[in-house]
Amino acid sequence: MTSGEHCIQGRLSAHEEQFHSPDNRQQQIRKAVSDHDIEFLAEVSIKGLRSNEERQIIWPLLAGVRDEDRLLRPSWIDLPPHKDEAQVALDTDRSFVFVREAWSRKRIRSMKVKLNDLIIEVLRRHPILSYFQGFHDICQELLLTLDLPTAVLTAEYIALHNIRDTMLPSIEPTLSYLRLLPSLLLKVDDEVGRHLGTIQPFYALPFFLTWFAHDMRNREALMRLFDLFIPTHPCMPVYMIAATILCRRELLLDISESEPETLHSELGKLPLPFPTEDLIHQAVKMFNQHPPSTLDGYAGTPRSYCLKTFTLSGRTLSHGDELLDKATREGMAMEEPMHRKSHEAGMQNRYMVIAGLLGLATMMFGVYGRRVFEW
Amino acid sequence: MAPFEDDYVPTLKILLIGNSSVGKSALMLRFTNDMWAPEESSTTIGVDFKVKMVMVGGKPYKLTVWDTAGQERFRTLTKSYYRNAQAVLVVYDITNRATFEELPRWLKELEANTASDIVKVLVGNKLDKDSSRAVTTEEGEDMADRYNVGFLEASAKSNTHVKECFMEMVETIIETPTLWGQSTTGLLLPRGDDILELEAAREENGGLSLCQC
Repeated sequence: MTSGEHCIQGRLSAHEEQFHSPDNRQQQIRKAVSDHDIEFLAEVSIKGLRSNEERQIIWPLLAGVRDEDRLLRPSWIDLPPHKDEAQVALDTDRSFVFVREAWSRKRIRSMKVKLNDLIIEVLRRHPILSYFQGFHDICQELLLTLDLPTAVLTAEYIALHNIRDTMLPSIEPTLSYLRLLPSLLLKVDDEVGRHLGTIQPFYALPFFLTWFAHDMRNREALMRLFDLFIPTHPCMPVYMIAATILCRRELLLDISESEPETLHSELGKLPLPFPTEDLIHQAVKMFNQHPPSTLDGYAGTPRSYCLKTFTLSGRTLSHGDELLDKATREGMAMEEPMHRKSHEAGMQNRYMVIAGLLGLATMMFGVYGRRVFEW
Repeated sequence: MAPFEDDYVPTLKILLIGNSSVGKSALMLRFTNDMWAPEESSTTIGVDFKVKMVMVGGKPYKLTVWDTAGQERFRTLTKSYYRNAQAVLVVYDITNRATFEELPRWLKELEANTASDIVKVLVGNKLDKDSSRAVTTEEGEDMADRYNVGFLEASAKSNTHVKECFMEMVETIIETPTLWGQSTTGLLLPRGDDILELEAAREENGGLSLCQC
């Protein structure tokens, strides 16, 4: 098992039996909350939280928020501005799109201001985070579910400990996640994998970057996906994307490979209706059978990436900052020679041989992750 | 006129680039679906695209319009979509001076990444907000002349010059035989080898610390 592939095994079924009455469920959850039993709460969350009340308590705990984080901190307003604040303003101005019919203009306006404040506070408190268009979608969902101070803290932890790799200065680390997708598809469904062989997985970018929040109009389903993503490996959205692709396999196979733009367009859509529980079940099953460390492309990523360091235990904001700093430096060190070399003609073949050998070495040394948990 | 079989519907690829929030998606949506829906518009993440069939000279053409994210960090990705584009619209917002001042970067990047005969048009969007204009028409024209690209001002909101803009591009593409040197079908997405080099380099560098394995 690699450190990133969080292992939660076995206990869920035992607890599920005791959950037959809602009272019992509440009792168990309350006990786990007071015992700070994160492992148990993660199991419950992966299986699905049942109300906003549960989410308001459990999401922040799973993300890592501690009581001491809530103690008075210096106001973010006095902190130096972050380089990406102008971009944040442009994006939050275009937020809360899916609620526009149900809400008054005044309410939407006030929520946009809150969302902007939330994101700016996160960025000012962790200035080396790089904002990406789409982070606002994740924060929007947190703000819809949690009160503002809790949403800020939860977003800070998620930024530092779950999606850190997507908040580094370059987009390369994000693309390294997307590149795992074709490998996963080939392993799970060779026919579909080969059919989509020539299509770059960039269609999956908004799903991956925003945990589906950018495109998912069904809010119940979205909250359910957050139940899954908050306590699981940062690769889990990749498995979820694979599940949404494979549930439309016949439709996709019917589109000719000679029409890549039609395939690209179809792949960029979500299945409607969205069979949330089935897809989550499939995603978790695929994760267990083919954990990230067994996928092509995993081995070459830096050690400090969330991809390899992910854990639910022992999270603090200051440790998150350290990891972010380290990942930034490792990422830059790695991309510096990469850019230089990418200009050197005729090197490509050598790289391919080296990459191939590394892939082979990885296979030989056997990188086998353990299961997330027994379904 | 390009040499096509009678029943063959050629596919044309048009790309929209420019700073964040200048109205690239709005122009695309106005042209492909004749829609204006500001309250429904959200940020474009990565790359989005729509298809529209058009008739020119009695022949059908399939237009794929590719809309890209404006944020700097997505440029590595959106650049890979320049390949095989036959036309590119570089969009700025006439009410936002900063989006105009960024144009040289976009235009230079375009020059560096596309064939010289590709159709390029500079579009000053949001013409409906003429009263809050921050860039004059002359400045836009000068910029276009400097980089030898077409120019017009348009508004996705009031539906001014949008159809004209796209259709003129289509006609120019059709009239430019060198843009038809190869079949476009199947080449519209970035090819695997566009990023292979980067990927392989990364494997080499990152691969030195494979201690998780």
